[in-house]
Amino acid sequence: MATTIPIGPYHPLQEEPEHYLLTVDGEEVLDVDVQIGYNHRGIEKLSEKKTYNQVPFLVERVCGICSHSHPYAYCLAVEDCGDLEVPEKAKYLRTLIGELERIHSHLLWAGLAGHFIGYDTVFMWAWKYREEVLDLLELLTGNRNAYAMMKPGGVQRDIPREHLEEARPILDTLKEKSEMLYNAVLDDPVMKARLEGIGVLDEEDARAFGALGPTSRASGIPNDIRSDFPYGVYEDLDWKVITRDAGDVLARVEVRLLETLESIKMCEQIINRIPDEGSIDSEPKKIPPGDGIGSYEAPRGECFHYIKSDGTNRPVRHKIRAPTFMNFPTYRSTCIGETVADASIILASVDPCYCCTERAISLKEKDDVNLLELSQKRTAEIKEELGLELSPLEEVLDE
Amino acid sequence: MKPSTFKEELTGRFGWKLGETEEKETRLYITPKPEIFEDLVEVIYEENGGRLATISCLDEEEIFRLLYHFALDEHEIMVTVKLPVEKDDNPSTNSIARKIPGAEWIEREIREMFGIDFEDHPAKKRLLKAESLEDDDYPFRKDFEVEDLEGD
Repeated sequence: MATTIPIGPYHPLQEEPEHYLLTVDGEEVLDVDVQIGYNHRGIEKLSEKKTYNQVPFLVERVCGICSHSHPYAYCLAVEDCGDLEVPEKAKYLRTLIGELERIHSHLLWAGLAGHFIGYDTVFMWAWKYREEVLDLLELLTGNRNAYAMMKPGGVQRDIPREHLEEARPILDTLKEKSEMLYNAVLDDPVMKARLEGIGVLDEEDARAFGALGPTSRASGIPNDIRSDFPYGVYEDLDWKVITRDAGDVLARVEVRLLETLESIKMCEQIINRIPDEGSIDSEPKKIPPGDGIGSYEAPRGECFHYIKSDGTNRPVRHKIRAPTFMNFPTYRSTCIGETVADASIILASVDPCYCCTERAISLKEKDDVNLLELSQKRTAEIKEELGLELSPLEEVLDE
Repeated sequence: MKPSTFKEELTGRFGWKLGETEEKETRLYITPKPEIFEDLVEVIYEENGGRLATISCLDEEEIFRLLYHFALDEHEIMVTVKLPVEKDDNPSTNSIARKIPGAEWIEREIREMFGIDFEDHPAKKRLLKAESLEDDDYPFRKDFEVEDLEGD
């Protein structure tokens, strides 16, 4: 007999409001219905009331994680409409921030994926390394998220050479740790058992639904805006599009982790090549009437912006299509027939866009305080309160 | 492939009915005669592997205009097919969601936000619009003022 399970719109496991209605027969998922829009803020409508230079600040707030992707796609649309030139240095700076954003977004997702299948070790490790990237972004742009770097025709601020040099050691460690994470995840029998052959999206369905980014690349489609419609400096960099044929959740994990490594490689090349001199803004004065399309490879897939100009200082229409809007409907092909326990990781495997821009308090280890020791001490105290036996180490610490 | 080469290919098929076109470096805009619209979409989608990126809807003074953006990733061209929709009591056009499953959510969004009915659409139910809005409130139309909204 079929039963329905409503999940959401507010649920402890979800960071964003959305409503799923699962129809199940025992363990098997028969149908999924989705209701979204709880977070609809009418940004497209608001955008029609802002000038071309104000819009980047607005679209930056579409998403906390892709806060470089939306302004970048918008600027590409404006530049397409007005045939604007972007200075070489600005292109390098834009691409650098974009790739750092991809690294932190993919690590964030890897952590969440671990969390969804109850493997919190992966969550802790992935998010620990992600912190370093966010701190690096703060050093380079002044903000961990919402970098406010983009403007039509260039970038808002330059990044000094000494700050760029500080990124090198961080990228080196990150590379080592990401490789470790990749190997650990793929060698792990638990991950394999939970993810292999689950939520398979075949190539035909991926094409039919118009799936994008890592979701389509894990189904064998080499669709990547960075190579198909190159913007920024991707044509000059040495990198490759990662694809996998399996189409299951494990393939999506693999694609994202390997892309993280590609992005680290690209960041290193950019830091080597970025010119020290040169303009960062072509200062466009007027956008002529016409259409402009901006297509940008965000961490989750193509971020698409369309603007219509009538020659005034603000767009008459600004259409935004985030990648999740195309990726999410693939659940009809991936979820049905699977078990309820796998549904959450399958739904999460397209990386639906979660916002989490709250700043954390940073704790630094001082010379006289060791955080690990503090934590062990506290465990010993609790054990004593409960009257449990202490381990030899804890006995030493407790004294 | 260059947009002009693709345009010539399409002109060979549809002749003068391809209507007005505009080209840029990697962009091609087409305003076809309405009767060939569905065949044109089929040629772009089925034969040339076009990926439906999205549909933009413009609220112009006299009409609505739907812009079907297809990305031909392999040929590296972005083709936009423009289709006007009469602005009457019940603006409507044919749905392409049965041919292209990826269009389903896109058409649902336009139906809610602009009030354009897509005939033969497989799931005409609400997806995005706030519960506090009536069925005939269309927030993205130009005559809809955000200031008119009450409460929440």
